[in-house]
This record gives sequence, structure tokens and C-alpha cells, in this order.
Amino acid sequence: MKKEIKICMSPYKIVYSVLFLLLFSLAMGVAVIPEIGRTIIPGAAILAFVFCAETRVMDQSGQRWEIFLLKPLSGRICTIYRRWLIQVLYLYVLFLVWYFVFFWQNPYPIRERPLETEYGYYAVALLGTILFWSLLTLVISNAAKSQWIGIGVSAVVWIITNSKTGEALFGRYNLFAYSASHPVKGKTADWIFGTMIQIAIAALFVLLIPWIEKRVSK
Amino acid sequence: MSIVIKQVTVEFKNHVRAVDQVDLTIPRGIYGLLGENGAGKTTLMRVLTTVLTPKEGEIWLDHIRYEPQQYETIKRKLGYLPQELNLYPGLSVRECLEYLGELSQIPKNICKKRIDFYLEKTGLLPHQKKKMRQLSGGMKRRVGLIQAMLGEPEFLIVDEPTTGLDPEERVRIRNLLVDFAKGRTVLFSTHVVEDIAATCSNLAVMRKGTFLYTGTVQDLLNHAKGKIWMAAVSGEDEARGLEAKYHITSKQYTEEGMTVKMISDTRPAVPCTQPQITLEDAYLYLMAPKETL
Repeated sequence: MKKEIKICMSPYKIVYSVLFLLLFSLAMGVAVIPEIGRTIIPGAAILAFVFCAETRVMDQSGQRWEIFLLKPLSGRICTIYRRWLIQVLYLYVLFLVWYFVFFWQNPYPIRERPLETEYGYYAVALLGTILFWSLLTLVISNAAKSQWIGIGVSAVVWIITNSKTGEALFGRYNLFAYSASHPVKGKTADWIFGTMIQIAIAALFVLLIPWIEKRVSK
Repeated sequence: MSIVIKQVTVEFKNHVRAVDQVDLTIPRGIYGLLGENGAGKTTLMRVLTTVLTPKEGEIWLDHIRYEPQQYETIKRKLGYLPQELNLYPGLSVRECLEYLGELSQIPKNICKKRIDFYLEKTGLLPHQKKKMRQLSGGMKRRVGLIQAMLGEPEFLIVDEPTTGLDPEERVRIRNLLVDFAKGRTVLFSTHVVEDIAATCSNLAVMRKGTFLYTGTVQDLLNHAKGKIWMAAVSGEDEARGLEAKYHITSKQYTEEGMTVKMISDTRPAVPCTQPQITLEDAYLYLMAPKETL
């Protein structure tokens, strides 16, 4: 596991992820505490799909693909899952912690929305976001044998869903239903379905990984 | 273990035939695959490692036929050092080999013993804690070779393992391969004739996707007997004159002037002798356009 961490968590990735969050928290304003999570989620999606795109294809660009393909299929699949899990855990913890960085903006608390509750909702929505977007990019990158196609397709999906069009088309089933919901008046039912859909699709992607790995090695 | 290749063709999407209906039998021992850049050597090796699927033909690894349902079995018997390999730069030498050993599902204790053995044999033991990115080109090639041999494969394929290395490194790698080839099959691809001469008794010469020659090194040398000539010339002008008429393969300045080596089917019309034929001479004779001889 220690070696997998060194492979998929290179120093430059850690640096750019922290820098991204730093710039994000400086650039995005929040007025009230419930806005924090809603502001972070679209950025979390971007970082997830960029961060995890090269999970498997790094061996392609790193000129290791020929020997990687010689390894037993089961070993390769376990490696992909391990690398993905390490990255997802890192991103999840990072974004959970980064929630509190936004407090430098002194957002107003809302009495009806206690911090513990808001943070809990954020943690659930974040989980769905990180799982979905990390796996979307991973699956597409693997199938296309290109991290840039993975990032590109994910970006297109992000643009469509993180827009007024996406809100109008998908409503509370939108992938970004949480960040689109009202910070003060919004109810859980306004966004939980979007998160559940993300988690369901993520589960499907997890099952697809072995099938794609088998196909690309033919 | 022997490998039999029958009428194998590899065609890419742009209809370029990188390998064109080749037949080859690779017996036990170290077998050389010689050819210029772009001859099709790497493509053939990728077919043998199941990375590429041929358009036509059959390949047999002993009694196992190359087909998709057998690929996992075949891969377990193979070790491969590709022409370009960039192992994980952030890992140390030992970590890298342990990682690749884990991926190959070699038991930890066996893997550790093999890594210790090969690090010792390749002179990399003092460097085992260095990061891969800190190593020289020759050291990286040695690590690449170790990863190929770690699974104790019955069939080892090495694609231009000595390219860009200094003479000492090349000798070290060649000796490793010769030692490893005992009781196994090693396919050694290179465009450096000297490497083949030093290690192989059998070889194939490839050009533009086909084999120009397959057989023993001795037979290839015999093939060029009476075709290699050496003449002493007074200087550059005379050498240029010979170049216009004959196929010159080498020129060397001496105290008396210059000696030139020529390939010709008939004795050149200048005073000349027949030197001892090297594999390079024989290879160049084979590759020379017939109209120039």
C-alpha cells in the first residue's frame, strides 16, 4: 500500500490539489455557513475528475504499459482499485477539512440550520460527488486509454449538469442538486436524490472497471 | 521451450505491414534478432508478448497456441524488457522491484530472495535505496532487466537492451543474458551487431517486416566468405574513387595512409586482401543492395 501511495500521490498532485483549494477558497465568497458546502461541491467535482484521471493510464504515458499488461489481470484490477481508493480517501478528507478554511470569510450562521447538521449534509453530498466524478473520469480514461479524454468528457458532463440547463432538465435528480438547493430554505429532499444517483452510478462504475481492464488488454 | 512463428502478419490501420508473413523457430538458448530501425523487430516482440494481435498466422509457445483464452497462461511464462521503459520514478530500486513482484503475484519471501540475488548479480545492491529517477541510463536498464527476470520466465524477450549504453554496461547486460539463457529461451533484439556476435549462435535478420536470414551465425559468416575485401590506399582521393565503384563499409586512417573495407561479389580491381570476416561484415553484405556488389 505504501508503494501505491507513492505512485498515485506524487508530490506535484498534492501541491496542485492544495493550491486549487487555496485559490478556490479565496475566490469564492460565502455569506452564510450553509453556502460553504454548496460552493465547494462543484470544485470538488473538478478536482476529483482531474486528480483521478490518470489512475490507470499513468502506466501508459509512463512507458510502462507493456510490462503492466503482462501482469495477471486480477493483480492489475486490484492495483486500479487500490490507487483509486487512496486518491478518493485523500480527496474526501481534504475537502472535509477544507470546509473550515472558508470560515476566514466569517459567514453568518443560520439558527435553523445548525453547523453539525449542515456539515453532515455536506459530508454526504461530498461523498457522492467524489465517488461519482473520480470513477467517471477513471472509467472513461481507461476505456479510451487517455486521461485527457477522461478529463474532457467529465468536463462536458460537469458543464451540462452544473448549469441552469442542468437544473431545469434534471431538477432534484441533478448531480449538482445539493449545490443548486437553497442554502437557507432548501430541504434535504431537494438534493438527496441527486446524491443517491451519483452513488448508484458510482457503484456501477466500480463493477465496470474489471470489464474495461479485460477489454483494453486484448 | 521453443517458439514457432508461422506466416505471421501484422498490419496497422494505415495498411502498413510491419511484419509480413514471417516464419521462425526460436530454439532454447539465446537467439538474436538483428535489423535496422523500423525493420519490425519491436512489432514482432509485441506480438510475442500478446500486446499486439497478428492479422494472420499462428504462434506456438511449446504446445500452447497464441489465442486470447491462452494469453494469461502465456504471459505467466514470459518476461519482457521493452525498448522504452520508464519505471516508477518516485520509488526506490528495491521498492520498484518489490512492487512489480507483487503485481506478478510472486510470493513475498521468494520475491525478496530473487531481488537480492539479481541486485547482487547486476551490481545494483549499493544503489537499491536510490530513487529510480536518480539512476543513470545503464542502471535503469539493469533494473528493467531484473524486473523481466524476476518471475523466472521460461521465455525472456529483450528489446534493444544495450542501446545508448557505454561499453562496460553493454558487456554487463550481455553477460547477464547469457547466464540467464541456460535452460531457457531468450530472444535478444538489437541493431548492434557486436552484441549478437558476443552472445548468440543463432540469429534472424529482419528488414521491412520480413526475414532476410534465419540460421546460425556461422552460416551467415560463411555466406559472406569471399565477398569482403580490404585494400590500402594512399589517401582520401583514392578512397573516394573506390567509393564510387564499390560498396565501402569502413575506412581507417593508418600511418601509411588509409585502409578501406569493401563488399564485392568479385575481386576489386585494386590490390587487396581478404580479411577475417566479422558478423558486421556478413550483416552488411546481406543488407547491401545487390546492384552495388
